[in-house]
This record gives sequence, C-alpha cells and structure tokens, in this order.
Amino acid sequence: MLAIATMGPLALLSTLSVNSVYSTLSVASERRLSDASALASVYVATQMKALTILEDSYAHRLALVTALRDGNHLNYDGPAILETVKDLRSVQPETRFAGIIDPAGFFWLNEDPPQPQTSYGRPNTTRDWYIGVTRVGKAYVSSAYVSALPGTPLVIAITTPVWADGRFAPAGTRVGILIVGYDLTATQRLFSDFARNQGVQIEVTDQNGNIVAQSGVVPSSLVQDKSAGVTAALAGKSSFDRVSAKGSDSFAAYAPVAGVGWTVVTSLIAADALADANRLRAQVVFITIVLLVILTFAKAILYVVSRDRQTAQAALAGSNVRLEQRVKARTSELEASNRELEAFSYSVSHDLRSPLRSIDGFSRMVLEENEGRLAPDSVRKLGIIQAGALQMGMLIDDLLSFSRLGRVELKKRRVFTDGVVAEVIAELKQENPERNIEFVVHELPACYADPILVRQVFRNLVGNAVKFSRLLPVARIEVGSIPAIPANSHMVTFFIKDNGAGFDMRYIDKLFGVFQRLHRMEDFPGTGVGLALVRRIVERHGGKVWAEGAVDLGATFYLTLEDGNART
Amino acid sequence: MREPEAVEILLVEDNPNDVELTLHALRTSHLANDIKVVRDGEEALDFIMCRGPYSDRDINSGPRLILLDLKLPKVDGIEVLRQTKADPRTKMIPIVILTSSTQDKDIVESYALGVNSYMQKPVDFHQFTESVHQLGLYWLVYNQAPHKV
Repeated sequence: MLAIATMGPLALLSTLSVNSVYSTLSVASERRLSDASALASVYVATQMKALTILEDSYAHRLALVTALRDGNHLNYDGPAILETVKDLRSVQPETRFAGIIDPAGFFWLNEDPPQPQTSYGRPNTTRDWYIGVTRVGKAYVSSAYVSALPGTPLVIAITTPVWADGRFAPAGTRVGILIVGYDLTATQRLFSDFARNQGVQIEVTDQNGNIVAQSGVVPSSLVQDKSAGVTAALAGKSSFDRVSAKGSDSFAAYAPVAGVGWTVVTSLIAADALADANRLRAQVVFITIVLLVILTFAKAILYVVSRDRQTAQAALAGSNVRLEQRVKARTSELEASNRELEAFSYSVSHDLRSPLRSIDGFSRMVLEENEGRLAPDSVRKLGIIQAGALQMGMLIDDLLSFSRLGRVELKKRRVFTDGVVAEVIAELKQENPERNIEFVVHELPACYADPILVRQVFRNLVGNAVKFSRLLPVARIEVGSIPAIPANSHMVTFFIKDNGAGFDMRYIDKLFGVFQRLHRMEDFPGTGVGLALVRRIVERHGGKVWAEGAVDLGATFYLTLEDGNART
Repeated sequence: MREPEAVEILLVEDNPNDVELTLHALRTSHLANDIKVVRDGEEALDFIMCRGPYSDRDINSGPRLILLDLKLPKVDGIEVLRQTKADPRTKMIPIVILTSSTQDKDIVESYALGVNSYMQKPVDFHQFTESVHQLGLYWLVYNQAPHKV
C-alpha cells in the first residue's frame, strides 16, 4: 500500500522536475520550490507513517492484547506489559517514554523512569494525544510539546488504541492505549539535512502551527508560526508566497503533510533561486534517489512488520501449548490450596465454636443452679466470661464470612440500588426502635454487581452510620450518589454520610483493616471486620472505597460500582 | 403401654460437654424422658439399624427423632444420614442436624440426602436452649408423623 502510494508522487515529481529544466529560470525556481515542498511533505509523512506502523504493530500484538485483559486496570498483567514496552524501546531508540493509558485515561505504566504498576496521577483525558487517538480510533501523532523529563527537547506522543479480541472483553472494546513519547531531535536533523541537500530552507510545524523542525536549528521550545501560508496549509491548502525579511527576498512554499495534519514550509532565497538549470537537473536525480530510499525504507518496514508477525504467530502456537500446560499445573495447585483453605475454615467453624458453647453454657448453668447463693461479684464475673465467649463467637463468624468472600464466585447482574438501600434502612429501623434517625435517601442509579454482596456493603455502611450516631438525640444519615466524570462513566459513585462520632483522619489507613477498631468497645461494640468486608467486596467488583471524617463531626463513606445502566 | 426399649430421641454427639448441654436443654423443656445418647457414627448406625450390641432391639420401637452432629468419630454424620435415609425401614424417622458447621457444602449435602432440618448450635447458651426447645416441641408434639405400616 505504502509503496504504491509513494510510487505515484515519485513518478509525478520526476516528470515535473525534468520538465522544469526546460522552462524559464523564474518558472523553474518556482517549480523547484513547489517540487521540493511536495517532496518534503511526502518525506515527512513517510517518516511519521513509519513510526505509526511500528507502534500499530505493537498495539496488535497478541501478548499485549492478552496482557490488558478486559481493560480493567486491576486485571492488567504488569510483567507482560513491561516486556512488550521494553521490546518496543529496544527497536526504537528515540523513545523517551512508553507505557499504557487505561480506558479511564490514567497512566498505568510509564517505563522511564520506572513507575509502580498501577494507575497513578491524574486522568489525561484533556491531553491532545488522548483526545486525538479517541477521535481517529487508530494510531495518532500528537502535537509537539516540551517534555517534563529533564534534558529532553521537543517530543511528540504517538498513541495507538489497543482493541480487545473477544476473549476477555467484547471484540472492539478499547482496553488501553499504547503511548510512546518520541524524541524529535533525530528527526529534526533528518529534515534539516534533507533540506540542505535540496538547497532549500525547511520548516516543519505540527497541527497547532508550532515549529517542530527548522533548517540549521534544533527548536527546544514551542514557537508558533502564525503566517497566512501555515494557517492555510493547516487547513489543507498548499500555497506559494514571496516573503521579504531582513533585507533578503525569498520564495516560500507551504504544503500540508498527509496523515498527521502537519505542515511543511520550504523556502528559497530569491538570488539562489535563479541558479543554473543544470544544478536543478542534478537535484532531480537526487530527489529520485531520496524517494527510492524512502520507498525501500517503507518496504523494509512493511517486510519486518509482517515477518515479525509471522514469527510471532509461529512462536505463539508453541508457547500456547506450554501455556496451557502451565495453566493446568497452576490450576491444580490452586485447587489443592483452595481445598486446604476450605478444610481449615471448616475446622475453624466447627472446632472453635464447641469450646465457646461450653464456656457460655456451663457458666450459665452454674448461675442457674446457684441462683441467690452466689456473691454479686461472682455473678458479674461469670457474666464477663459469657460475654467473652459470645464476642469470640461473633469474631469467628465474621472472620469466616470474610475469608469465604475471597473464594465465592461473583454473580453479577443489574441491581436496583435504591431498593436495596430502602430494605436495609427498614431493617435497621426495626432493629433500633428506640432511635430517632432522620434518613435522607436521594435518587440512586442502578449498579451492576452481585446483589447479595451489594446488600451486605450497604448493610454494613448504613449500619455503621446508625451505630456511630447512637449518642445523638437526632441522628441524620444521608445516602446518595455523585454524578460520574465522563472519563469514568461506566462507574457510579455512592456515598453514605452521617453526623455521628466520626473518626480521626490520621488513622484513615487503619479504617478498612481487619480487626482494626478506632473506637472503644464500650462506646461502640463490634468486631472490626465490617469495613474490611466492605472493601473486599467493592474491590472484587473492580470498584474503590474511601472515607472522610472528623472526630464528632461525622463520617462519609464513598464507594464506586459498575453502572447498572451501562450494561443492558 | 410403652415398650421398655422405646426411645423418643436419639442424640448422636461425640462431645461430652455438648451432650450435657443438649440434655440440660431438653430436660428444662420437659420434652423427652427417653433419650438415648450414642457417641460415634458407627454406634448410631448400629442402634438405628438394630445390629451389633443393639441386635435384639425392635426396629419399630423408635426413635421418633434423631438429633445428629456432623463431625463424629469413625463414621461421620453425613454417612449416618445417608444410610438411614436410604433404608426403607428407617427413612421415615425425622433427622435434625445439630452442628457447629455453617458450611454451605454441609447444608446442601444434608438436604440432598433428605434431612428434615438443619440447625446450627448457637454459641449463646440461652439461644441454644430456646432452639432445642422449639425443635423438640415441633417434631415431637406439633408435627404429624405417618402411621407405622
């Protein structure tokens, strides 16, 4: 394709240039400039195309498509992604950074400097390279910018969508974006050398009109060319102009660069333009050679890419067999450890309870059999023994349901959250008839989750709000949702807010831990498992949970779940 | 006239403390005077099927209710349940699992084998006594058993 596309201009340019030798000198100079301009435009387009072809071939690699799974960054296979990215860097030394952007726009992995394998920073949804790749749906060459990395001059980002192939997510789902930051220094020199050989001055601008390359200079900051010619070329129109600057008169040709939306300005000092026609002939030969080189280069890239793909496919067939064997071995290991775990929790649920029942039962029997004969202090102490046994029983129950949660299969479907919350509130009202609680429930969007577990999440969070506001004459508990940000529109955020005892933000990291309690037992009884359970459920659903609070000013808990209206 | 070996409740429980607690609970409910306690699954099957040391027992003389623990020495409770429910002579006897386990696997398997009730022994003795009381009341007083054929 590329070879044929380049062949056309090659033939055309050669013919045009040879013809021009026989034209008048002034016409020749104008034509020479427009030829050089067209040639430069093809040259720049070819360079950029080569980069996008390379990155596109990586974005389609099975290893990368497999590593990005269903597009949920929690499921990304870090080591596999890193390997692909490293490979890409070794092929393309001008790469300044490379990584993956998750569908929500977060940098998931940035290899230079190495970053944690998790979403971090802010979403990049307003960046040119994000908007661009989203608009065109294929490899996109961004506008130039000054990289934040020290010692880097101008860079461009090439972003390519990675599409699911139907194994982990429906085919055509964008599961991530491959991003490569490309150092322009080498390209700038290449363009500058190209122009010198042409005997013209060159200037290349990006889609914003910012100069990315210029004869003799390596731009290291963004300077915008606001000339009418560049503006027209950005709109897709070639033009020719005579420019007078600093006492010297020159011709300038403006041409758009196909594919990337950039522009090329070639210029010629008027006196040089009237050079001897023979020089032109030599240049036509040079043009032809350069074009042939470019053509060969493009062909070579296509060849390497297709050979690469074939080798990869052959290797894949072999590695799939090995992979299957490994998966089998690993599955049976996992099954064995799951069985052990089950046996453990079985004996916990069975054997740890019996002694507790004896402690509670026999101390109660002692109380019954000696009614009126025991000293009040002995009665009190027996009561403490019983309370201890009951508390331990609750701890065992909570711990078991916590450990069971790691193994239970999620049965997700659309859940009408407002119905769940209404049920939970009715239940809590019935359990606390003596309390005066004002419940404010806003309209809640549906979520896509396991209904039993979602109910448990709201039961624990609203239940906590009820518990921790019990010292107030009138408690106020609010349940609502926050509108989704567009980049994360498949998730919905809920909140549960109370005006109760709150907590000290200094201990926030303890809030969701198992057996972690921030309040004294006699003030607010509990086992310290409820919030750990909430976090485990929400995270297993691919969501997040967090909290805000202050002592005596109440607490607000937030959680995100998949939007029930995003799926039908 | 009641036959001398007639038994109302067979309690299959290996833990002596749990035996004492269960008997205490049944006694305070004034529910059953004739309670037979066996301490492992093998003895339970011998008793129910009238074999071994119980070979001269009449298979038609009860029990009217079996309270069965799951974790038992020798033969486990699930096996006792399976064999009792598989034998046409004994499959009509109501069996209530009385256990510490709340494993889904146990509950599902017990019901698949035809258990009549499944109850978790609560740690709280007050609740435990109340549960045993309700259980005895239901199966021995309110529930209409089929006539012997």
